[in-house]
Parts: sequence; structure tokens; C-alpha cells
Amino acid sequence: MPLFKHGRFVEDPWLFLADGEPLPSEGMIVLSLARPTGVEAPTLADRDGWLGVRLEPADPLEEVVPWLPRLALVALAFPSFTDGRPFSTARLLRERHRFTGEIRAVGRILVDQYPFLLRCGFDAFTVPPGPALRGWRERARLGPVYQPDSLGEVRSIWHRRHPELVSAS
Amino acid sequence: MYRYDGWDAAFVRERIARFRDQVARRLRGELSEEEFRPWRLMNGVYLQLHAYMLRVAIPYGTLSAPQLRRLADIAERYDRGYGHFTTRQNIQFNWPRLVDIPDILEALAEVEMHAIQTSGNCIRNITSDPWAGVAADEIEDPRPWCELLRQWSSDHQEFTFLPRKFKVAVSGGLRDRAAVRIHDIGLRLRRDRQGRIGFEVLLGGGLGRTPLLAQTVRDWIPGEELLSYLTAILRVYNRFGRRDNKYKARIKILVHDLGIERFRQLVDEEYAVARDPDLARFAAAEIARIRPFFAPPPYADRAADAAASRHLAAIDGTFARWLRTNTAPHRRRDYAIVQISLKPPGGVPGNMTAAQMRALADLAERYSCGEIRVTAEQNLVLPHVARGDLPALWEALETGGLATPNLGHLSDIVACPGLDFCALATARSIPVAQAIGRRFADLDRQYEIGPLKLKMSGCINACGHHHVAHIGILGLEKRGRESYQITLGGSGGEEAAIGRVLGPGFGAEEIVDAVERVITTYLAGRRNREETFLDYLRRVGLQPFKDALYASV
Amino acid sequence: MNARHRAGGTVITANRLPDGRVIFLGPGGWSEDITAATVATDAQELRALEALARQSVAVYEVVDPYPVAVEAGPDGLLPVKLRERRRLLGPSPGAETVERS
Repeated sequence: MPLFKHGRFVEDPWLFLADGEPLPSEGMIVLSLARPTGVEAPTLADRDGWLGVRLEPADPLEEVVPWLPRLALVALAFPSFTDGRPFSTARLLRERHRFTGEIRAVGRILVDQYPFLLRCGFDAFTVPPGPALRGWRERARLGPVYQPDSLGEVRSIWHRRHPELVSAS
Repeated sequence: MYRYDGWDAAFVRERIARFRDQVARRLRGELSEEEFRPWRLMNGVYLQLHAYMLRVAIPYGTLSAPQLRRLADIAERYDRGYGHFTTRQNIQFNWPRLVDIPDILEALAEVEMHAIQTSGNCIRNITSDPWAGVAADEIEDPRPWCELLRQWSSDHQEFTFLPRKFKVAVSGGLRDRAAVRIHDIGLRLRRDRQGRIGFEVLLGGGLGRTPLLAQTVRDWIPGEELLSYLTAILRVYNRFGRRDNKYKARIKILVHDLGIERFRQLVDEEYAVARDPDLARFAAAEIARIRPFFAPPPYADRAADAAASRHLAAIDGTFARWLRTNTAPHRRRDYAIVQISLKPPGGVPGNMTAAQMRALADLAERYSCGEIRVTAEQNLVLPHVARGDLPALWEALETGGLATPNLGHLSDIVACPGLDFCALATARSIPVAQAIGRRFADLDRQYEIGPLKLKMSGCINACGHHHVAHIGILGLEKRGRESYQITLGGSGGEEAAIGRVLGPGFGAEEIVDAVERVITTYLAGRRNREETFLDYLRRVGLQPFKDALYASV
Repeated sequence: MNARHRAGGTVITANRLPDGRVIFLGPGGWSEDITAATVATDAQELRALEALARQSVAVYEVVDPYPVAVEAGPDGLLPVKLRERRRLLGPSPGAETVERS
């Protein structure tokens, strides 16, 4: 699946494993939440190599929080582009739990959602192969927005109107 | 009123450019209808029964004369020469072509109007008190707060793909004129003991198939904390609201299922950690920036000729009854609030022709500091009219067919577009409203009946607010025919209540007679003229009405 | 009116993509005129019509086509269901406000 990151398509170094698949001894792997919180927990805690977790919208965020220091990637699944739960999950990961690894949108997303996803803290996007790829190259950009994000990465309209408040924050 | 700065203008321009691109991609087939739908809806575009429909926001119900003229231009150029005002401070055009809508949005942007988030599963157009800034009982003008919320909710990064639509209303008066109890979130401006401005927050109201009144979730939140607190509420809703069944996806169902206590606990837990001092600082700075835009207009002192309207009323009964029904006290004694009924006998509730829009825009400039307001009951308001100008204004309104003196009376009917236009409707509303309006056209009889609110919806979604009407009518389909169910005893505003269903529905040819029997039952049973329809109903209950409507069958 | 129009059956309707107007599928393509519609009288004919309609969706002409049961009315075909009748006939007389002259 093509991966869009930092404004361009890049190679994906991560291997997404299905629940039945055996753990490779090394390499960057992404697992469902059931595995690090299940019987494989000790094995995974000792394992070398980078680890990622894939969360479905209904997965309880509290369960992944203890693992966050070990994780380099959290993939948030969109079963439908109208399911807005991952937007909240991403903000909580970034703003509350200070997760600094990759937050990747996987599943059904539209390029038109890019400005929303980006401001919630997503920084990687899997895009279905096909004509949508060109759309991502052309349209994945951010226009003027009102809302500051608490990481202060986006210069919002409110920031620009009230520059005196920016240094205070 | 509020004026865009360069950033507001840039934001709206960018939104239109994006939508123009989305429409082009849809027409080229790069977007399927499913992929296009959320963007179309969040730009106010529905695909209705006969054509596309465009819903344009009238933010916090305030319009300038040039804006109303622009609506007239759009009605003529892109539609059929009229517009339809809704129950949520919007105006709808019934016939635009999809290919023209980006141009229409540009025409709106030129006068600082938009259709952003007038539909879709997002935070909708924030509504407010149509008497904001002029009501005598006002604590503070709610509109700066509405404008703050407009900005905060526009393209919100987290809350644009909610389980379902989300409606917010803000009321600034001691009395509620914004229907806060039938909104997902209702905000009432309040001062604390130190005189600081804040809000009582009500949660979980809404009509539709599960009508519920909002409950207080927090007695008072300081104004600058509002955005953090709303973030907490919306985050709980976005994460835990139902997404498996669209009829159970509104926040009112989540509040109802969890109970207000549990919901409050979840929100408080979230608020404790989501509280964002930066957001509070920005809110305070923005409110300070926005407030001066809503300063009172430069009123001329008109105490000298304020008696003119009393003099005319003494000799002209037609003027006197208009003065009595269609004007309200302004905070200045030499001024009045003038209400424009869009319910002429036999007319379509809420409709206005392009010619009427232009005529009213001219009158607003001459007599109302250029300002017009839009109400939740599909009427308009001229908020700043010198009492000395009332006779001249009234005459001009009469000429334009805009002086129907029926405000708050039976023929001041609220009605959704129903099956004449709406893709979701199960029965027609407009012809029934017209027939009732004609049956009760006699104004003296309406005055004899007294204050009465009749509202009708053409389906269970209840856009016509029939649940909160004294007499509500719900149009359904029964075995291939239109059937109209009566509910009695609902009320909006201060003493909000959900009406109760009277019994089986009536056919299209019977419903006007049925309403008439409800009225005659009340007139025959009331103690005196001071006992209003609602008072009588609350005293005697539904039984006398059931007897009158069903006993003979 | 041909024999099928007298007997009734099923037609395919949709909204035209660029302007949203109500249209019906006939041998000459899509038309706002229901009398130009092809009436399917059995399942096989309906399947053929639906396949044609899907092609129109694929070339971005129409939105959400669906079948509508019709019967013979005094002036030609009339949908059986209330909603579809209103959709064909347009708003009720007087339900649109027009300029007073």
C-alpha cells in the first residue's frame, strides 16, 4: 500500500502482521492491540526491533498507553472515512500522552480529510493504489484554519491575529 | 455587525476553492457519490426530491441590507425568484444546479455570507436570539460568543466527522428566545456573583423520533473556558456516541443511555485534563476583538416623536392591531422591535420573494439601521425602529405584503418544506399549512383565540418542531395516503415541553376540520379570555379534545 | 401509450448529476419525461435496465438510480407510491411562492 509522508510517497519500512502470523525475530512490525496486551506480552517486551500497534476505532486507548514508550508507530484504522473516532484518538496520543512516534492513518481516508488529519497529529497516510495517488500529490496541503493545536505546530488564524499570545504559550 | 478581516475572507475563499475542486472531481467521476456526500453536505448542498437544495447560513440570525439584496439576486439568477427561511436561521434555495453552486458561494462570500456546515455530521450553524442586542432583558449580547463559536467550529480538526449532526444555540436574555432546550448544546449567558460572564450549559436536547429536552450539565462555566469545556463534551460524544444506527447517534441518546450524572462525570474528567490555557487566552482575545462589532448602532434620539404611533393607533384600528401583535419593547423607550410575518393567509410559511427581500432591505436601511434579523419561527425582525417611524414603516410593509398582523397567533404557522420538496418527507406540509391559514384567516377570530403556536412537520425528523407546538401536526404516510397526527401541549422557549399525541391521524381532507374542533373545544371550555390554550390544556388534559375528535367516530 | 404503459410495471429513475433533476431511463437514454421511460414487466427486463443504469453511474451522468413501480394513470404512467408521485409531479400547485405582479 503506498505510503504518503511529509508531502510525498515513500517506501514503507513497516511490516503489518495479521493476528495468527508468527513474530519475526527482527524487523519493524505492527500488531493489533490484542497481541501486546495478550500472552505474547513478555516476548514482545524483550524483543529487539521497532514495534508498532494498530488500533481499531473502538479499541480502548488506556490499554495501549503503557506500551507507548516502546512504540515507534501507532496505526489508527478508518473502517469508513465518516468514522471520526480516530481524530480524537490521534489528538489524545499527541497532546495528552505526548506520543512522538509516527501516527499513521490506515483504511478508508480521503485526501480531502488531509488538513483535518494533519492537525490532529497524523503524519503518515496509507493511500489505496490507483488514481487517488495523483490527488494526494496535488491536494495534500493545509489552508487557513482558526483552531490552534496545542502542539503549536500550525500557525492558526488566531495565532496570527494575536501574536502577543504566541510567545506566552 | 461582524465584518470579516482578511483571514476570515481567506478562510471562506479557500473553502469555496476546495468545494469547486470537489464538484469538478465529482463531475469527472473522480469522487463517487458516497465520497462526495460529506463535502456536499458540509457546504449546505442536499439532493432533494426534485433537485439540489442549498442551505445558506444566517449566522446568529443577523443580516445586513446588502446581504438580503444579495439573497434576492441569487434567488433570481440561480433559483425561482424566492427563498425559504427555516427554523434554524438559515435560508434555503430549492432549485440550484450543482454546477452553479461554487459560483453562488462566491456571490455569498462577496457579502460575507456562507453555507459552511449548514448540514453534515458536524457542528452546525450556531443560532441565537433574534432580539440580541435590543432585548430589554438581555444579560449580554450573545452574538460575539456565537461568532467565536463559528470560528472555533469551522473546519474543526477533531469534530467534523461526528456520529451525527450537532446543533448549538446561545441565548443572552433572562428569557430564552433561542430554543436552547431543543439543541444538542444550549448555552445561556449568566453572570456569577462577581459579575463575570459565563454560561449555563444544557445538554442533550433535540426533536426527531426521540424528542428530549436538554438538561443542565453545568450551572456555570466562565466565558473564556467555554471552548475547553465544549471540547470535553464533543470529545466524549465523538469517542463514545453510537455509530451503528443513525437514529440513535445523536448526543441526546448517549446522554439518555448513560444518564446525565454519568455523562457529567465523563465530561468533567475529560475537561480536567483537556483544559487548555492557550485556548482560554485566544478565546478572551477574540471576544475582546469581536465585541465592538456588535456595539449598538448610533441611535438618533427620537423621544420627541415617539407618540406618533400611539396617535395613529388611536384612530386607525388596522394599524393598532399590527402595533399590538407585531411590535415588541426595545431596550430604548423611543424605539421598537418590529416583527415581519412571513405567514400571509394562504402563503407558504417562511417563503419570501426576491422583490420582497429587496423591499425589506430598503426599509431596513431607512428605518432599522440597515439591520434585519431571522427568527426560529420563520419570520423576520427589524430590530431598531424609532417609534416615530412606525406609521410610515407599517404603510410600506402593507404595500409589500409584509404587514400580516398575526405574530404568535394561529396562522403564524411553522412548517417544514415537507413532501413538496424534501427527500425524507412522508407527507406534505405546505398545502395543509395553507389550508389552515385560509380557514383561520379572520384576524378577529385569531385574536379571540389568543396566543397559539401551531407547527407542523412532514415526517418524524420534526424539522417543523411539532413536538414543541401548542398544536403540533405530524404528517405520515399510512397505506399510500397522507395521514396527519395531532400532538397537543408542547411548548418551546422558557417553559419547554414535549407535546402528547392525541390519537390516530386524520386524512388530508379531514385535518383542517380536526384543528377547528380542537379550537372550538378550547373556546367552549376555557374559563375566560385570560386562560390561554396552553393554560386550558394544562388544566383539563387531553380528554376533552379526545372526546371532541374521536367520540363521534 | 403502448401496451406496457397501460399495464404498468417498473421504471428506473435517478437524479441527473449536474443539476439534480428527476429523470427516467428509456431506450433513448435518460429523460425528464416518464412517458419516454422503458417499463420492465418481469425480473429479467428489470435486471437489464438496472445494468444500463449502472453504466450511467459509471460515466457520472446520474446519481443513485433505483426502481419505481408504476401503474397506468389517466394521463399515462403514474408511480404507485406517494413519494414517487410527488417526485414526478413536482411541488403541489401553490407550494412555490412566485412574484406577485
